[in-house]
Amino acid sequence: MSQSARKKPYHKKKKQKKSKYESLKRPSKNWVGFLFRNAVIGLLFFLLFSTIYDSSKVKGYQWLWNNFIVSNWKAMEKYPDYTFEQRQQMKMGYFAAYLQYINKNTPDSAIILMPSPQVVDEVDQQDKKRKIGWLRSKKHTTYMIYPRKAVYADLEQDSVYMDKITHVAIIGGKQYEKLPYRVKNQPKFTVLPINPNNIK
Amino acid sequence: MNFLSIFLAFILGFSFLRWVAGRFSFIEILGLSFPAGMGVVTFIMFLLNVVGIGLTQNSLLLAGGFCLVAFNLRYIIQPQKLVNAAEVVGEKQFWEVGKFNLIWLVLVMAVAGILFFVTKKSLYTPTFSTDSVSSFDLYAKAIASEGSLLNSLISDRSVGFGAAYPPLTSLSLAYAYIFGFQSSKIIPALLFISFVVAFYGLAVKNLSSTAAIMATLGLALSPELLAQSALNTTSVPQAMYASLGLIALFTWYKRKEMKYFYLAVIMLSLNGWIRSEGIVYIFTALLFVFYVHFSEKKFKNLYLLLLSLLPFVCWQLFLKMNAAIMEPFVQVNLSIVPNMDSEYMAKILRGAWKNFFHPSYYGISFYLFAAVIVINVWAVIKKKDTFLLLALILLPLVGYLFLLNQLQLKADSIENIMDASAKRFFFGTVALIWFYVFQIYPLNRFFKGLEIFLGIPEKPKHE
Repeated sequence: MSQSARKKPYHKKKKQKKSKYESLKRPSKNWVGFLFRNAVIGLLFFLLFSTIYDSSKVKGYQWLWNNFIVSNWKAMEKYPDYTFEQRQQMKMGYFAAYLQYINKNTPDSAIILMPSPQVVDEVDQQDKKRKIGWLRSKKHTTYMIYPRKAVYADLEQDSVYMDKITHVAIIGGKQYEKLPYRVKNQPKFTVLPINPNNIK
Repeated sequence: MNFLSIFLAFILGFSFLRWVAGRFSFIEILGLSFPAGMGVVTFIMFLLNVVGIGLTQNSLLLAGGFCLVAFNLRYIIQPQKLVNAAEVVGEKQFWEVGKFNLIWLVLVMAVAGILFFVTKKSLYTPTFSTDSVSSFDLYAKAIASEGSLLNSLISDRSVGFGAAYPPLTSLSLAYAYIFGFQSSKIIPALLFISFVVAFYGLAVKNLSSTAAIMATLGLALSPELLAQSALNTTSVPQAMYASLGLIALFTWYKRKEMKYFYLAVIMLSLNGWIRSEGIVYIFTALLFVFYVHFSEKKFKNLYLLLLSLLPFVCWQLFLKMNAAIMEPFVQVNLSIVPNMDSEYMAKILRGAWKNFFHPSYYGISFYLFAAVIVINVWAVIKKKDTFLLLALILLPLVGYLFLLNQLQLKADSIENIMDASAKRFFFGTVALIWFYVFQIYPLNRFFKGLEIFLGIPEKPKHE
């Protein structure tokens, strides 16, 4: 072994000077310090969050709180015991109520002639409160009445079902002419079978 | 029976992750098991459908049970392994969810409050969003009732374009109906909870606990994402699979633990199993892995990652095989020839820009991203991992815009899509942004220091 390798390096012990910020690099020594530190930093973060929340550049957070969270929470708290059907009506209005009525008054195998989009528009204009516009959409209607079939005369793909129709959907007192028999009392919204023997 | 089905999905996901990837911590298991489980369940449903077996409670329980046994076969053959695996549960590290301080606690409570509200809203409100009513939920009802993907709604053309989307959403909603749920909204609710928990679980592997929970809160409070999370559509779940996949990939790169690579493969596959454009995230991951291994010329991981294209390819083959009946539901065609129409591209870019900085859509996400890019530009040039993480965010974004440019639309104009639908395309990017922001050197260091500063008092050392 060479002379130089045997020599131990000489280290002069330096006094390690503690930085005045050294205590900040360690957790606090007691619970009071812990609470104080967390409260101060928490307050700073809170101020930052509230500045962002109030900023006009990002209105989304205000929308989220006021329109999404608070208003939905209020609605849920107002009607906590609503059934599934009632909640559907709450969201989709008379459209849901009418199709639920159809579900209750027709068998699962029913093939129902729906009003044309023009008729739906006409009735929708006459009676704006009811909001039945979604009846124009075969998909929306099918969603509510499945496994029953919704048939729209103006749709090409539905032509195969035209001679298999079992029921006619009546809205705004229209479509009675599609039935092969006369109806004395004509309710404005109902569903009636093609075969008069099937009237309940 | 219905809640048993949810438990089955959870346990299937847990077993699958354990089998393929390995051991995860408690918080990761809590967040990742259900999304992975829904992926497994829907793939089983798809395979049953392909071989002509009807989708019923019995067939699903039988197939699910069979898979559960297969995933846990090594424990059944060698019960000693189960004892060894159970020992992990006794380790303190397994249960660690973060370092305690009051700010962390308040933020955890805020996130928990948001999750409670979204779950309550999701379960209270019936399905009413147009995409779900006309496509996913409607299709799910028919799948559950008729036990097949090719059902009467397809032959009658009574369902929307969603029927041609990769089937994870429709099949998972159908799974809920098959097991007797009145509404399928339990699925998006559980997926959103999983998203937030898994995001935190992965973030805390890369960041300090306070930074991780802050990023999680930033993600969960992104206004449009939170609003959409209560709907049963594809956007939020796809953002979950895509972003968790890329975050897992980055975690693998940083920690060199293969389980995160396998996790990335699983999550990215499921991202392509829910929306076809998920391939932009898969291609990003492929480029990432190629770049990482390029110097060593070892491409085994790249081949493994290619497996994540499998579910997407399966669905495309299914569409091709049933083209006669499924073609009307395909909303767009992809043009392979580059679209050089600069005006068209300009419309896409303008629309995207409008979305990024829209006052109501993503909160401060994109503003923060822009600021962080400026602050961190030097580190991006000098540090490979910072550069790679930024690439993981920017590449899918560029890929998305390129994909939009290549789409031949059948039912809508590009202006309408950019105005009405595009806000949902960038949820995955929002999640990645929140992960990225706290990764940059100044913030990462600040929060690490802050965590010590705010930590609980140390016990005096006995000499």
